[in-house]
Amino acid sequence: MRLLVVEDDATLQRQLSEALTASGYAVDVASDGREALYLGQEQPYDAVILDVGLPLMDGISVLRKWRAEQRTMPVLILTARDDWHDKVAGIDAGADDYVTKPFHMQEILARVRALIRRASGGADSILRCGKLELDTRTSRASCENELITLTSHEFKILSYLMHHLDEVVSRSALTEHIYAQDFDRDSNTIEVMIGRLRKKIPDGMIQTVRGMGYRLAKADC
Amino acid sequence: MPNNSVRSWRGSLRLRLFGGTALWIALALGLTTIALDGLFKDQATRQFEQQLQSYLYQIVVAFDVDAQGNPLMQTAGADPRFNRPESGLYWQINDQSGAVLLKSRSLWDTKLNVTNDALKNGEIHFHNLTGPASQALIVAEQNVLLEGLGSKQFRVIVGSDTQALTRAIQTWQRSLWLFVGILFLSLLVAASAQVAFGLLPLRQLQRSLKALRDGDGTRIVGAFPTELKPLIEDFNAVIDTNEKIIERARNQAGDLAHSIKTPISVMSNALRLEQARNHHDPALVASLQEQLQQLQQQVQWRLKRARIAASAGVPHARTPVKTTVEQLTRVMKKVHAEKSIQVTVSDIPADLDFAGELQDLQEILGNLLDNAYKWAAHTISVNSAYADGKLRLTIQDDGPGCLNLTESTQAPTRGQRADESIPGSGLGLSIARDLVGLYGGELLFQAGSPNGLRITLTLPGDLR
Repeated sequence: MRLLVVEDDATLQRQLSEALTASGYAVDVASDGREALYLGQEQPYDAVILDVGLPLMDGISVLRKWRAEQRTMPVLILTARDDWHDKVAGIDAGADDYVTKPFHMQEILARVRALIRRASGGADSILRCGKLELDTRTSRASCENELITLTSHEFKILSYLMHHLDEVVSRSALTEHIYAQDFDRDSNTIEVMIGRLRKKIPDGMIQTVRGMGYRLAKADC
Repeated sequence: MPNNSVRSWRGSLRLRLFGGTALWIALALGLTTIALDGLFKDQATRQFEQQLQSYLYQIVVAFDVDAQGNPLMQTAGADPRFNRPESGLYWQINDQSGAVLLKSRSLWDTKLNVTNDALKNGEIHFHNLTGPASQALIVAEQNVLLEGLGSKQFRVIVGSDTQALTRAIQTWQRSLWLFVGILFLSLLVAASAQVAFGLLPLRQLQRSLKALRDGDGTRIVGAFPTELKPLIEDFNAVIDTNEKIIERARNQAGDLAHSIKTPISVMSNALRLEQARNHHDPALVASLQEQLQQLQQQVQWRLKRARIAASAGVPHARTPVKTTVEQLTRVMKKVHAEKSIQVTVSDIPADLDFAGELQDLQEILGNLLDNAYKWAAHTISVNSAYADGKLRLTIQDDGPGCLNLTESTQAPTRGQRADESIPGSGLGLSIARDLVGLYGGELLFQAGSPNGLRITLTLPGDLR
């Protein structure tokens, strides 16, 4: 899952980025409205954390532009103003949720998880595919209640596939959603990691669709 | 009473203008009437005297003496009235001693009692006199000398009844008063129309102000006379400035919020990270956390106060209730999406307005709905009613109901939270209550039936 964190305060940006990375997300950051607008237009994010008070272009305007261009990724607004008037303005501009400053990092993590889950149509914080379970709150995967030990990249791939059950996910889409922008990408590593993942979970769950990508199929789970 | 009438006269432009004009018209017409009346009387009397004088000349010409020196009247005077008794037209000739020598037949057995005053030769004198049958007469008299009689003087007197003159003057006066009266009334009507027409822009201004108060617009607009323009421009400027001040206060509160709350976020996150490390100083971290918590509460509280202070209650503001409730329920559904709560909003009339500002209604309803969402188990219902300029909204949830709320009609006091088990700063209800108080409204907390909390909110409203 790849996130965009837009926050002009460098320390807060770093804290958010570190906490989210630690929770298994690939995180891109932006420090002003224009950079945020560009990244949101160009990159396929699974969720965005957007501060309202930004230099160059305010968060609400950035959000409006994204929505006008049919960018539908879930957006969590961070705002210091906790008037309902500002909250209404944020939600009406197309935000999916908001958190007022000061906040607890745990609250941000919970809300981001919920947003991503809702965007993929799930209501439960535990994603299931047959015997396989993935707890989005604890970032743990298990099969028949037995914990599966995964590396961070393996977990990211499994999480993305489980959020997109039955969909064919291309190798490039996986790359885009799993690595942050400045990461040195190599599409071969995806293949390697899919190979390792297949060994850790029941056989045949991850199918290769020739020439298109991979699929975690509901029927075969 | 007289005090009242003076006050009402002073207090009404219409009365001032109309009263002044009416007084001036009455004065001018009164003086004109007196002058016209005097001129006419003067003219009529002079004409009457000229007539009398010509009678006098006729008599003087006809007066003579016979061979024996006795006075005689050759002709009795051309006018037949000289011969008809008490006809109103008379002549008489006296000698120097005042004794009557000759008189007209119309005098019959009476005479004209003129005083035997000294007259210069040839001078004609006019007198008022009471004649036969108490007739009011004007007499003309002249002393004449006859040829051949030496210095013996005779006084020739001609008198005429003034009844015709009096009648003419009365007729004239009646007509004069009638026309002056009509003129006075029509001038009054014209003056009143002029005052009404002149004050029309003020009436328009009054309507504009009322519309402004009723929330139809935010400035005074329309074509007004040059004299009123500076007043209206000043008034609009005051409205604009007021709004700008409120806006600025809000923005400052917002900017301050941003500049303080971000560092607080950074510090509290840093502290939490520090806490997770192995070699931290637990006492220091705890103390800093406590201080930070206090700072956070203080900032939140002060900013909310600033927000309330900025809501000055702009008199012309109107906010549609329906769209505001819809907006807020939309926000709540997204923000509390995890709880999947069913919200029923009864038919709120589209023309139902809150007589106040959008921000304030959003703040009041936002906090109350948010509270309901936090507590509700499955459903929340929102109902509205309107009566006598009051808007009533009830928000009922099916949660546990909050005991210390249901027992009193008051929300918890500031800073003290109704219940610590649900996240939130505890400020929301207190802010809502303060804002409701600012608008002179009422906030009532009751136990819902069969359970939950029922909040009844009464605010000034308006049905368009």
